[in-house]
Amino acid sequence: MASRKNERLVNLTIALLATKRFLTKSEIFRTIDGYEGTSESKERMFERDKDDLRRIGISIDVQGVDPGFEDEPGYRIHPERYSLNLGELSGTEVALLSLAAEAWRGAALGVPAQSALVKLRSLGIDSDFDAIPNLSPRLNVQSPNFYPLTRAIADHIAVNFTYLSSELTEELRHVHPYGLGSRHGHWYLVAYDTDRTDIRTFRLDRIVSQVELVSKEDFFESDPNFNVLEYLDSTLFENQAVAQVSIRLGRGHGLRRNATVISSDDEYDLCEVSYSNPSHFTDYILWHADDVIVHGPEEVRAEVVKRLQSLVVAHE
Amino acid sequence: MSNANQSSGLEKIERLLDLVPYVATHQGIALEELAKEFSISTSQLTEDLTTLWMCGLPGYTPLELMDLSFDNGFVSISNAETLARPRILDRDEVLALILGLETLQEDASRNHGEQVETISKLVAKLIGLIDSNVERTVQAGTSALSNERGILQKAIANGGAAEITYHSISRDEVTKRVIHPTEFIFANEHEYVSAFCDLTQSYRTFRLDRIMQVGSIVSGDTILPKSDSTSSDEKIPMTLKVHSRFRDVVERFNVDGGLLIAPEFVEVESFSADWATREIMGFGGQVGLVSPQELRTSLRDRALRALKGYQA
Repeated sequence: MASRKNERLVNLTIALLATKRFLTKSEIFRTIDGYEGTSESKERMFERDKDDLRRIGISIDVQGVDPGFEDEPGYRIHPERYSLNLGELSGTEVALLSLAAEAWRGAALGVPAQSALVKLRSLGIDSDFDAIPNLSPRLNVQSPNFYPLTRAIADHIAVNFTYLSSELTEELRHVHPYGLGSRHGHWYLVAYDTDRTDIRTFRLDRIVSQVELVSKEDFFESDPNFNVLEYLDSTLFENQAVAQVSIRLGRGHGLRRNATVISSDDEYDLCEVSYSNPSHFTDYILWHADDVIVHGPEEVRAEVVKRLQSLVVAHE
Repeated sequence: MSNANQSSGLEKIERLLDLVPYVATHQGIALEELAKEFSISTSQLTEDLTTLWMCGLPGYTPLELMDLSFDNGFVSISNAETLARPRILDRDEVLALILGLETLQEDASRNHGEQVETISKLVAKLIGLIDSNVERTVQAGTSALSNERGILQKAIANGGAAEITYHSISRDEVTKRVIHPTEFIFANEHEYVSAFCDLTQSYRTFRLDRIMQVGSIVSGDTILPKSDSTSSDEKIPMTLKVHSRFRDVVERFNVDGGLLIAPEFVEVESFSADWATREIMGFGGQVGLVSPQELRTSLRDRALRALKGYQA
């Protein structure tokens, strides 16, 4: 039964693609294999078939064929809207697109990436991998919530999930998802939190439940110009301040990535280091123990000294 | 085929339509290879091809039907011009490709500058295919390390070795070493390469984002000692007293399975006493080390030494 139905769907697709003019329902029933039974059951079959084809992204054009017979519309599939058209593609471009798809192997969008790859390979253009040697990208996002969140963002659907707080309690959050972006190896969800009535950022690996899409009626408006990476950078990652620090020679390699050396003696480099979040920066200075001394800004210096004192007290 | 249609029973019709252009551009492909490309079994594929064999233009005589041959184990197709072009990409497929290209962009700018513009043009073409602002709402940023991974991948494939500059976080040291990579591992949100390290004469794992540079492949055909899972490194058990920031403790010390409730005392382990001391110092008094005693003392001494730097 199922294979008869699929056969009919393929035949319908072929007939509607091949026709140069719109086909009426009666022509379809008369000529396309598989429409059987009473006229009502043929009608029902055809309605379902149209829905199925539309659901897999095939657009079927409808037009009244004869102005005198408005109840007898015609159908066809426009080949331009059925088939993939990326214009002229070079072998290098196909190779880049293939690498982009293969980056998803074993990760969140592995299934659509593979089907995209199949379609690209069906264009019959040979990939030229020699033009881009030694490139092997990987998208490591494993979270099963990644895919449903991309849907919720695109369709403006509210979601619920459980989030692990900084003190390990599980919090139920209700949000309007705005965007997903990755920075420094982590993926973040930026969303409007309807309980806290403000925009919040969530790290994807700290969402511990399955994301639940709330019904489609709970549709929200979002800023059409919202740019998730710009948002993440301006709120979390933009270097907004500069500190003066001494870094012991041969140490602090992570810190040195954002540092410029101003002067050196035989023990330390005096550097200027830019940072974004003062509290994370204080942690990071402390992490280096006696290999790094911070001279300013004064608030950071005072906080480091205070915390070192409390470390000493805690370990007496 | 999108994730959404995977369970709706429509994946079969999608596959049937996608098989035609694929075979048309890969005439004579082996059944097994074709099945693998579509992630299905060969019996499923044979069933699909049998269905397609019954399809064609109205009339359905041999003149109109698609002509498929696959009974000798190799698949070819003719008389299938109507379906010969691949279908348009759906929204999920476009998104997957755009994000994949974005991860390539930064590496291309470092190593294949001439491709940067090509990638941007491809992204623009893909965006034009869908009616959505997906390119701004879902974005892959930062280095994807594709160049480093590409060279290491080649070394794995050829049995070769590569010289890497590595930032060892456990000692906060940068060293150059020749490694013989064996495989990539993904764990705790990070990607690692597992390799035999000439410097330490043992199997080690290196976090990919701490590899600062990969030199070219230096040699092949080295016979490596068998991997010994009983590494000489022993983990040091520690007890922490946690006042706050439980989630950070769980994430940084990779406490197995997380913790359901936040207890005052947490048992953790680490390969490196130096690294563990630094991590605890980073918590600045909100986390204390209870045992072992000698580490506790050395932690206090380090804090005192650091304080001296502020008294000058």
